[in-house]
Amino acid sequence: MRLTHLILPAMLCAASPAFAHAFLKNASPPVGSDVPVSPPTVTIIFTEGVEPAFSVIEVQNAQGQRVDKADPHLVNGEQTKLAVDLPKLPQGTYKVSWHVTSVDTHKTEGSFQFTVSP
Amino acid sequence: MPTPIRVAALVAAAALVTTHHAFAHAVAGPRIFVNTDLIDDPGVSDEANLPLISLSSPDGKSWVTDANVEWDKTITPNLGFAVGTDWNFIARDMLDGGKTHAGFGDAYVQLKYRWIVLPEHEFISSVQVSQAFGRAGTVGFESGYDTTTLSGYFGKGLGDIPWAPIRPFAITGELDYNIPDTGPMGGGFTTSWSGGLTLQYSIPYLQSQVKNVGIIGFAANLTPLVELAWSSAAGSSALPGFNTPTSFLLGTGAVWTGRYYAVSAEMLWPLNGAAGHGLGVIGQFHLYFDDLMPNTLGKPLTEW
Repeated sequence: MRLTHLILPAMLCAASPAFAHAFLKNASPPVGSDVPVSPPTVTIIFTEGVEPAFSVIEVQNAQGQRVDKADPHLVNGEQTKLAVDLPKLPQGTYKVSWHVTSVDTHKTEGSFQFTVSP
Repeated sequence: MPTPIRVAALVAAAALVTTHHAFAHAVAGPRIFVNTDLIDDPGVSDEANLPLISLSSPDGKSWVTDANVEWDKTITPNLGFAVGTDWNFIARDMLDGGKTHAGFGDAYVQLKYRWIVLPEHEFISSVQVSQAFGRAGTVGFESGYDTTTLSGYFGKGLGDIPWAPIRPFAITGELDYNIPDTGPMGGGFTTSWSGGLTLQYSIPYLQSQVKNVGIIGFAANLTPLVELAWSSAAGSSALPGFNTPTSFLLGTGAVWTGRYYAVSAEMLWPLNGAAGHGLGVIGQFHLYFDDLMPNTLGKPLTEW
């Protein structure tokens, strides 16, 4: 009881904007998808804003070779959308690995695959 | 007027449900181990249960509501402490004329150390020492003796297994060794074991790591799970009635995880008489201070 009396007012006093961990909300190409043509970019939409200077998206082919253009950037300046450009990819399965730092400095990571199958 | 020993016995039996106070999400690589209700998760974090609440019938006649409030604070990123207590409400105590009773149970403090995280294998493990103060609650509801508990925890996500259907699953576990004090009340009790296992299926993990199957809205944040909690004596007491009964309790339900809080709900299935009689329920409202207040209450006291 005493604890809730302490915590709830503290929460109400925290008027400054609060942020949370950045997790993958959506991606293009979609997670685990088959796409008929090579996508020009991999774009990930996160649940929170990310710091592009401290965030990475890396795309590898089935042999583990990096194939993206190593240019992670925000899409239209939106801090929740991070993208990396791709060359024209041949048929095959690709692994997308991401490591991001959210605007409140929480670090998160993940990976998924997509397949180019004309 | 209820007898303190009888009320304490009811509360102790109900405490089988919430002996293991739940914490919150723990992260190993892309895996989030959600807060579970019957056992603790393997992480160290800035979070709170407000509250973890259960409703069960230890003897098949009386109904006991146990509301646990707990605050978890990180000292360093790998070391944290927790403080908490339980409030109990006994309804329809049939051995006391159907009366109701209410009071606080034992208070406790915990110190937990996360000693290993292997992100690439989604593995995490922690150790903990806890002290329950058996004379800090309401007479009749407190246990009457102190207990020191040594605990070990692990969590393992199956995301590194190269078979997609199984990758959203994760397993967590806890093992405790409980040591009652040797005072006038605790002297008759023996040491005991307790612990449990959980099997979790993360829909967020499925859709962000394996395959986006198009689940949206409320269901996209769910983690269905099964928990099995267990306790048994580590030795036998010379005094009749002082042995810790072997109990098995099953919980089935789900955790909904949001940006700043999580909500869980589970059905409780006693697997033997010592774990209760009839179905019960348990659930919690859980706050993530590391996300709510990342620059103040939600960060470690030191980054050391």
